[in-house]
Amino acid sequence: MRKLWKNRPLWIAAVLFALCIVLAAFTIGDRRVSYTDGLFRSAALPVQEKLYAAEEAVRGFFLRMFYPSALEEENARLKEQINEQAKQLAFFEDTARENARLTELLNFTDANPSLRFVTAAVIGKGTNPYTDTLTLNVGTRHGVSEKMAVITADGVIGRVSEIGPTWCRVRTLANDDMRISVTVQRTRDEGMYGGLVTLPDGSLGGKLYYLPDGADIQVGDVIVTSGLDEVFPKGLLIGTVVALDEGTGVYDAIVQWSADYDHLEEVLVLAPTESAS
Amino acid sequence: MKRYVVLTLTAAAALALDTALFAVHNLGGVRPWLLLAVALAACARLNVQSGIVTALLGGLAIDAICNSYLGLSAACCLVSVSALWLLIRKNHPKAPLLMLLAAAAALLPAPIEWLYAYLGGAQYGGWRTFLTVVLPNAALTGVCVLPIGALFKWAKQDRRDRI
Repeated sequence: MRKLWKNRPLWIAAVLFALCIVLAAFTIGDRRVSYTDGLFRSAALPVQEKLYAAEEAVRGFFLRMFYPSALEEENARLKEQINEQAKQLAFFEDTARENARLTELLNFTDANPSLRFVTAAVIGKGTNPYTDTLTLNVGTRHGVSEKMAVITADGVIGRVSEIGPTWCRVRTLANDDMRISVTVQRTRDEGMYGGLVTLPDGSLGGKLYYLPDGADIQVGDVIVTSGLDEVFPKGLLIGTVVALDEGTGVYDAIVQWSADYDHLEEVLVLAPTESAS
Repeated sequence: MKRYVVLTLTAAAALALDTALFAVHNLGGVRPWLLLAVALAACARLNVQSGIVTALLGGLAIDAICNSYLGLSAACCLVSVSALWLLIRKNHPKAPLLMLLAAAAALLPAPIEWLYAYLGGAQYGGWRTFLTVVLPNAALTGVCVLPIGALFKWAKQDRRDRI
């Protein structure tokens, strides 16, 4: 025992360990960004962007080295696609202008003002699969604020949880703390999405619960936002039901997300218009 | 002096790879924890103080960059470094034994991470996660200790010794 007591480095490490554990315990709940925290993240942002770009360059280098023929084929295929898409572009531009005009008219007559999109690039992803987060390259300077919804064409991604002048962090659906008010599209039953669960194939999914008693929920049902939480507009796609509760009583169904979290590059931040906010 | 320059550069490179490369590209969650490998190698080949400082500062930096619980990675690294130091003390184990001891020490953060995930309300995969993610991660980290340890050993040598 006396010998152990003389191990000064061990005791220093033990004290530091205890301090770190206490510090971590304080951050288990929702973290608010302090001034110094924000300053550090703002300073780290350019470095993080460069690291991400460098990593992409290294990956591309090895891809070209090991799969040159595949890349040549892909190059030829992409050239064909570009030619084809150039022809379609004129048609799409006309359609887009028409769509913009119709949207303007719709917004004018709609009781709720239209939503504003802020396009953002994903510049970082969290390492912890249980508290999944994304870092985007937009912040307060771009009109983004906390709790704004983040989506892609495939569906809901999450909501802004922390914000700085030029960056923001998004808490995704793949985060265990996430709670969203949802609707079963087929039956219009309302419920709550939240909490992670492991799907039969080993991937992660979300839980659906608080459905009304006797609700007719089936595998394949589409789950969309209900708009009741005032964060996500009504009707945004969350995912589809892949399994039902097998008598555990913990949840009603398991939802597989429609968005592809592994290949996110650009997302849209849904910002309310000035009149709405 | 040179050993600490090498240690700082290695730790910075490990931090960059951990947060920018392995965070995005890994094999179903399997990846080495390079910063922990650097801290363990510093503890084994330089001195325990270097290992503790690297574990503390590097762990805090990872938590700050990756937005995990601030202090959790530092605590995990400190536990592993302390365990490795208790196992080897002032001995200089040969590479294969050091790799095994480092891999064993790299397993120790798992229960702490599990506890915090549980307190945070997350579900853990249990034995399946342990066998398919935690164990391979620790083994990879142990393997990474070898080249990093060799680098530190080289940095520690006096110039005249090398001549």
